[in-house]
Amino acid sequence: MLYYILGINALIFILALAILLYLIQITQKKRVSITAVFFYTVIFLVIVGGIAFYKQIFSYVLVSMVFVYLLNPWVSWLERRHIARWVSILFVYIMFGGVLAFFTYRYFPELIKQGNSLLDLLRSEEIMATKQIMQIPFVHSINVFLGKIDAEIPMLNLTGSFHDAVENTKNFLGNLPMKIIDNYQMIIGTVSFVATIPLISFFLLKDGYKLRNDAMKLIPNRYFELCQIILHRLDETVGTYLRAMFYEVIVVSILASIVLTLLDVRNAILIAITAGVANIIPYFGPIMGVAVALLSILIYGGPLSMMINVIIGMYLVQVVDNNIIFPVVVGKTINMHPLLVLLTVLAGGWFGGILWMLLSVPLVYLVYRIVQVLHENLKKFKMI
Amino acid sequence: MSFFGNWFKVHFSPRDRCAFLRDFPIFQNLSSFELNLLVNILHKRIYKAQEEIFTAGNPLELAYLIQSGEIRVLGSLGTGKETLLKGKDCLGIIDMFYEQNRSSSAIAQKESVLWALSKTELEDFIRKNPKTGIRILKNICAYLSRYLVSNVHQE
Repeated sequence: MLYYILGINALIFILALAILLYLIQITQKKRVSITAVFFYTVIFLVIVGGIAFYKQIFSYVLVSMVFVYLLNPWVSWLERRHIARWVSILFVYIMFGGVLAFFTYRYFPELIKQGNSLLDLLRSEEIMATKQIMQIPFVHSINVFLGKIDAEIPMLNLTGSFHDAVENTKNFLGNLPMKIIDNYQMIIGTVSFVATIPLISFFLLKDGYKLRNDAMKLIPNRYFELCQIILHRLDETVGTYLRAMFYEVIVVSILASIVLTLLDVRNAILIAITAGVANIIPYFGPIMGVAVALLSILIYGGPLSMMINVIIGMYLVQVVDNNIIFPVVVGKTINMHPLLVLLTVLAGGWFGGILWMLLSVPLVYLVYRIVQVLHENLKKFKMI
Repeated sequence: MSFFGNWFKVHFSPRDRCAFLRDFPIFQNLSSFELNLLVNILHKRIYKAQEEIFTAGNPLELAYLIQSGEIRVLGSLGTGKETLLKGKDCLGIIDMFYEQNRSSSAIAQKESVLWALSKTELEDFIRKNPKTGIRILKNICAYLSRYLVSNVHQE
């Protein structure tokens, strides 16, 4: 199949090239050698073959580059203090590994426990029969309320449809863990993915400048200055944005877990991490974090005062994040209209589930910035 | 810091492979360590004879250090006259600090080898390495002063 596609492409390309050369010959009255045709055909085949061969790897390199953007400031910082670059990278790796290992050791068992308790709650039919769900205080109060309405207006049968709705939701959530188990192959793939990233990042960190300068050598003199400007602008945007996002997720997770633990919410750390990750989405992320926390309180039947406390607490986390953390990290806020953010998140959800919902806003923002920078500079250089 | 600093310096510091950069007036008194950091932000460009290096009116990002060759600058600094720059000279370093756009055009007279230095990268470098940065800026000031003095003498 691959060879077939390659063959077709090559054929089309050779035809196109022949036509182009013919046109050049007519217009410029210049003979084009057959060697040149041969050479460019070979180059084209190499490029197409290369893309076909390496296409699985692009995502690896892309994620590694995100990693590099995050770690590069530290590596450079150490390098400026007379430590060889590769030693600096190892140093940073060890430091990060240490911090990560500490947090894993300290919080992972707790996290697993919380995750399991949540999964148990969703999965086990014995524990969580529909009848039992009806025992949850919040659900119960709704049921009682609906029962009262039913008593007033008999033909509505609200309690019946409420029962059905709860039943359906439970069935959907109950199947969720099975879906995760069915996708174990994907999970193994992810593990190998995660293991390769630090290795690729190491080389990108070590020889990043060299690779970049070598790539720069390929650019013709005429476009060199333009490329430099565009690259710097993009570097600045992407770098600050990625770093700001990374620190925000961590800081919000930590602050939220402190707040939720103090307020004695069940599954505090799990909820806090969810809230931290959701924080990537501007405007709606923080609200989603609060919603998850409130949902947890509802399921386990906390008092109303706790819910109000959680709302105030999470609001304070946002206040601290926006006014103290953000200016320190020096990130630019995403300048997108809330409506556009909402639509983008929805589109991301349709496109590829929760992961894409999180990625869609940064992705759209970065694409927008790239187009903007390109347009601005091409115009300045009078090329468009 | 000093113990580990020295230890790493002895065992891991690269050789003096960028010594040629000291020939340029703006890098003349930098250490080999500093030059090794600096070479990361320099781009070697080779221009053929009669090739345009930059055009008046375009946005300004790069200054050039001339390794070899001859560059003809048209309409530099509003005097409207032509200037011929040769090896070890700097090109566009005066514009770099006060203009957004090129005030002059430059064309390679012979085949020339230039080192391109980006404004953004230089500023970033100075911010991250203040001590080295001050030395580079001092050198640039000295270079500009010499340029001014020579111009006054000519008139």
